[in-house]
Amino acid sequence: MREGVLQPAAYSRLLQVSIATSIVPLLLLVLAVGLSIAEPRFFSETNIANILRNASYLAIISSGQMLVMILGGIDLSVGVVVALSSVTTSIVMSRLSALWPDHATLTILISCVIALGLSTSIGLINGLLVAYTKASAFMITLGTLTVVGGIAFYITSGIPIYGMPEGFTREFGRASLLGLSYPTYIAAALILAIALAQRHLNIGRHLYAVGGHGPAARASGLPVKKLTIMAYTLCSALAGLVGILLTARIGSGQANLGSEFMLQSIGAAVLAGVSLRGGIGRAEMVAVSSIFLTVVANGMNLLRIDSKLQTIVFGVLLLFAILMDRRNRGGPSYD
Amino acid sequence: MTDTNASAQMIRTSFTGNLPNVLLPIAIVALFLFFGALEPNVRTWGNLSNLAIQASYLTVFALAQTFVVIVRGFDLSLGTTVSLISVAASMAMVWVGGATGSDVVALVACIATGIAIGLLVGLVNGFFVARWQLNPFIVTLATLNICMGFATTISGGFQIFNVPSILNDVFYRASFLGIPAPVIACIVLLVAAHLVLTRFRLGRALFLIGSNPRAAVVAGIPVRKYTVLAYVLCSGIVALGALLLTARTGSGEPNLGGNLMLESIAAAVMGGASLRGGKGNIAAPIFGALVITVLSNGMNLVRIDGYIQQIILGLVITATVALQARAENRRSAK
Repeated sequence: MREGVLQPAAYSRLLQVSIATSIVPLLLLVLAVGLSIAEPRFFSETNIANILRNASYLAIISSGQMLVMILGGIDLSVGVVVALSSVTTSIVMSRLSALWPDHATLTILISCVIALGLSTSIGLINGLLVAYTKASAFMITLGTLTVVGGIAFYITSGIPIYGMPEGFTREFGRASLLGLSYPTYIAAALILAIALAQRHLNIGRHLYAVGGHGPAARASGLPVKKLTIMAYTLCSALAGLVGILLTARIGSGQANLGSEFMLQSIGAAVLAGVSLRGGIGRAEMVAVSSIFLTVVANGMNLLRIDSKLQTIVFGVLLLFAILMDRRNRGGPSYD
Repeated sequence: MTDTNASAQMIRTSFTGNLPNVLLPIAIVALFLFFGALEPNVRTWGNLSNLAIQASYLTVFALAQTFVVIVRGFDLSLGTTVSLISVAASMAMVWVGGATGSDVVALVACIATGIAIGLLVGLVNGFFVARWQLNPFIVTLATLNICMGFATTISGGFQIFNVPSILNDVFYRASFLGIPAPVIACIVLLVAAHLVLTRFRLGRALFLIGSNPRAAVVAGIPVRKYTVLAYVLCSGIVALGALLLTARTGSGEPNLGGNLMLESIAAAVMGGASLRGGKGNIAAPIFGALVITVLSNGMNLVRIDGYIQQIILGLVITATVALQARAENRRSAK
C-alpha cells in the first residue's frame, strides 16, 4: 500500500472491521435516543450519573478480562475476587477502626492495600499456573473460582460485615465530583491508561503478539510467560479494586458480592469485539460496551420491563454481537 | 490412513497410556478407604447406595458435556437448561394432570416437554456453532442467559409445587433388582453412549472432528451435521438428567441447575476429556463424577465445614488439571 491506495480486498476488510467496531457505539446511540424519547427521566442528570457509575464497575473488570482474553485466555475467577476483596476490606477496616478510632484515613488505606494485595496475589497464582502448567485457563480459573469463593464464604460465614468508618462508606462511597461519582473517574482514568498502553507501550503491543500467534512470539524472544503472568495479575488487581469500590458504595462487605461479573465481563468483552482466540481487543471499546449493557438494563428498568427478561435480552444481544463480528467467530473452521 | 483407522487409534490412545485412567480409579478407592477409616458410616450399604445415586446425576451431566467437549466444544448452557426443563416440565405435568386427571398422561407430557426443550436447546447451540461457525463459548453463554431468563420468567422465580407424585415414584423411588432408578438410567445412558462413541460412524467421526476438523472434511465426514448432532445429544442427555433431578425433589426448581454447568465440565475434564478436543470416553464422566462425589460425601460424613469442602474441592480440581496438563505436555514433547 505504498501508493496510499487501498486494494479492493483490503478495502472490504477495512469496511468489515469498521462495521464490527462501530456496531456497539451505533446501537448505544440508537438506544439512548430511543430511550430519551420514550422516557424523559432517562436523560436526567441523576440517571446519567447512575448509569456511568454502574458501568464503571463493569468496565474496570471487563478491561481486565480483555487483557487475559487478548492472550487467548479467560478468567472465571473475577467475580469471587470481587467478593474476597470486599470481605477483606471490610474485615480489616472494621477491626482496625475498633482499635484506632482516631486514625480513619490510615485505617482505610491499610485495608485497601491489604485487599488489593490479596486480589493481586490470586491473579499471580492464576498466571503462574496457566504459564507453567500450560493447562487450559478455563479449568485453572475454575479451580481458583471454587477455592476463593469458598474462602470468602468461610471467613464471613456468609454474613455481611459492617463497622467500617464513615469516611469510607459515606465520604468516599457516596461522594461525587461535578455530579459524577468517584468510580466513574477511576474507570475513565484506568481505561485511558490501558488504551494508551495498548497502543504505545511495548508491553501492550507484545500482548497482542502473544495472543495472535504464541509460537511466533516465543520464537521472536518475547517473554511469553512473564506477559501471561502480568495479564492475569492485572486482571485480578482490577477486580479487587472493584471489590473495594463496591464495598464503599453498599457500606458492607459481602461474600456473594460480584458473582454476576464472571459472565458479564466476558459478555461485555465479547460485545466489544475482543476475540476469545486472542490477539484482538481495545479497552475503549470495552468501556463503550459496558456502558451499552448498563443502558440496556437501566432502560428496561425505567420502562418497567420485568427484570427477569433482562437475561434473555443479554443472551440475544450476545448472539447478535458475535454474528455481526465475523473476526470473532473462532468456532471450528471447516473450510 | 483412513478416517476409521485414525479415529480407532485415537480411541485406543484415549483408553490407554492416560494419566486419569490409571491414577483416578486408584485415587477414588483411596479416598473412599481414607474416609471409611475415619468414619464407619462411610462404609455402610446405605451410604454406598446413596453415593451411587449422587454420582449418577453428575455422571449423566458430565457425560452430556463429554459429547461436546470431544468436538472441541463447550456447553455453558447446561445448568440453566436443567433449570428451564425442571420448571417447564413440572408446569406441563401439573397442567396436563389437572386437565385430564390421569397421572400417566401427565407423566408423558412432562417427559415430552423436557425432551423437546432439551432437543431445541441442543439444536440452537449446534446450529450456531456448526452452521455459522461461531465460538461455542459465546453461543452457549448466550443460550445460558436465554434459558435462565425463560426459567425465571415462566415460573415467576418460584418453585412449581403439586407435581403429581408419579414423577417421583418412577424416576426416583422405583428400583430394579435393588438398583435405584437414577443409577439404572445412568448405566443405560452410559452403555448407549459407549456404543455410539465406539461402534457408530457418528461417534468415531466426532473424535476426528475434535482433533482435526479440516481432516474430517477431507475424509468426507458431514462435519456440520455431526457437530449439530453432538450438541443435540448433549442437550438430550441433559434433558433426561434434568427429569431425574426434578423427580428427586418432586417439584420444579428455577435454580435447579445452579453449579451444574461448572461441575459437569470439571467432572468431564478431571476424568480425562480434553478441552482441546478429540479426547474423551465414557470413563471420563464416570471417574470425574466419582472423584467429586466420593470426596464431598466423605467430607460431609466426617463433618467438614461446607465452605472448607468447597476450598478442598477447588484445590483438587486445580491439582488434577495441572497434573493432566503436565502429562499431556510430556506426551506431546516426545
